[in-house]
Amino acid sequence: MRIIKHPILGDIIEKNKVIIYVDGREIEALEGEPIAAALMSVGIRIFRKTVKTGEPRGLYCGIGQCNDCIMEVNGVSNVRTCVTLVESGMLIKTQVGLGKSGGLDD
Amino acid sequence: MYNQGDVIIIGAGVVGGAIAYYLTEKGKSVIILEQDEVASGASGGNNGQISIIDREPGLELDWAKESMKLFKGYEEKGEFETELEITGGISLFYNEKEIEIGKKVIKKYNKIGYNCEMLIGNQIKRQEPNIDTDIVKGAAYCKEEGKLNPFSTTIGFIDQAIKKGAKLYKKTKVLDFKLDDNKIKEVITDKGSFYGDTVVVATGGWTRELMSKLDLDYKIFYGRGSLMVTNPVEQCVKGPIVPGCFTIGTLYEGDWNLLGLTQHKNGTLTIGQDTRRVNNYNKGVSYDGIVGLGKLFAKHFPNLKNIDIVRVWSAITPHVEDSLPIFGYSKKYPNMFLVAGLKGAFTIAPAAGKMAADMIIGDSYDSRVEEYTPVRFE
Repeated sequence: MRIIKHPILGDIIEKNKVIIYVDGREIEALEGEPIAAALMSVGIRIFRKTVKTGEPRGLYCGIGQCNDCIMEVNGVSNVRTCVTLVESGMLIKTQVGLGKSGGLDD
Repeated sequence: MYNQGDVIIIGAGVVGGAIAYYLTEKGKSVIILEQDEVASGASGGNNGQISIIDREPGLELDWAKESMKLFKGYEEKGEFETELEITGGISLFYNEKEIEIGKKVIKKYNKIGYNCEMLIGNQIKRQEPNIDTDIVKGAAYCKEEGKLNPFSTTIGFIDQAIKKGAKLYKKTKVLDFKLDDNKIKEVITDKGSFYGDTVVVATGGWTRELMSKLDLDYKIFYGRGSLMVTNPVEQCVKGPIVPGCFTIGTLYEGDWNLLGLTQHKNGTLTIGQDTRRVNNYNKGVSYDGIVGLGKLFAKHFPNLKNIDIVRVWSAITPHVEDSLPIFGYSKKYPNMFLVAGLKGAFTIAPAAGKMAADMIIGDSYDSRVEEYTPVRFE
């Protein structure tokens, strides 16, 4: 689900549609939107599993602070999907546990 | 309100906590006054490293040895978790000259039974595979070094003391003291007055400012150390890493921007330690310091350069003018006991706290501690 008309932010801006892959599943996303937004729009709520108990975690703060929405993106773990923007062909994986020291190049 | 006890401890850090732990164990009634929260000063703002070879052989090193046994005891008795892990640790050197001095230091510790050696070039990767040996030329390795969780340790001491009857007053700031002759009769706080036979001052970097209310001027300077913490990641740094100049004693003056870090049990890395000598208890963070630190870390660990930093902070640590701890009874106010300037306090706090408790109770103690008496500044 996407919000097409927002009472404060206005209408959604036209963007290119691109394909990204989430755990092997092909997903249509809008270029330049946050990865988390693309995932939420197709109903994906579980982004990672916790270290100790494997409990599911997903979008929480949505502004890059809480680190709950981290996933593996293009082979790099610990990427905050709420502040990382969609690019065509991105390979995204549910992160299980801590993951290797990661972060994308700025 | 319980405002009367045998001992009033000012400061709920690791030192105040350890003293409270041992005093309550011996049946003393203890009141702990803390201006903020438990471990909100340097006890909650450090890398949690267990450091050996930056200490002079003597009492401090004996405290370190005894403390490792005491730490194990707390866990074995099921009292609290310290997350203590003896992983071996390294001190970093960047040129031949430093390595030469480092080798002499290592010999000194080998003689008294510590397992230390100088790792050169690629040998450093035995301990830390991710470190860049183009930058770091040598590393003094000490097998007996390690790391712990400073929060669970400090909170553990305080919780155990509370279980044995200690009262903790958080957000309670000491404002002044009332005297009877030259004894401290009353500790005045913003939450009322407290009365005790003995007053223990375990206030770290705040000590000099607090003691000025008693017209005492202990030569303790404020070292403001800035640190940062990363996201939790899989193990990538094995043991504590400290700047080599601490070990060879070449740098204590002025400001420094040096790399020291630890990876903790939960996977986070704390990265320090930009330290500046400041002239008040200001816990702000300097932009230059933090950016410098980030760059320094990326240079040493190129594989980890994209790791996310989630928080930065600073802690005020006490630096005593003559580099010795301040430990013992005041002469001017004979019922006041001071402990400050225990460099790398987590390594020695259990044994030092135990000794402070022994002295307060009137038990026998190691007379070498008299070298640390606060009277030298009175």
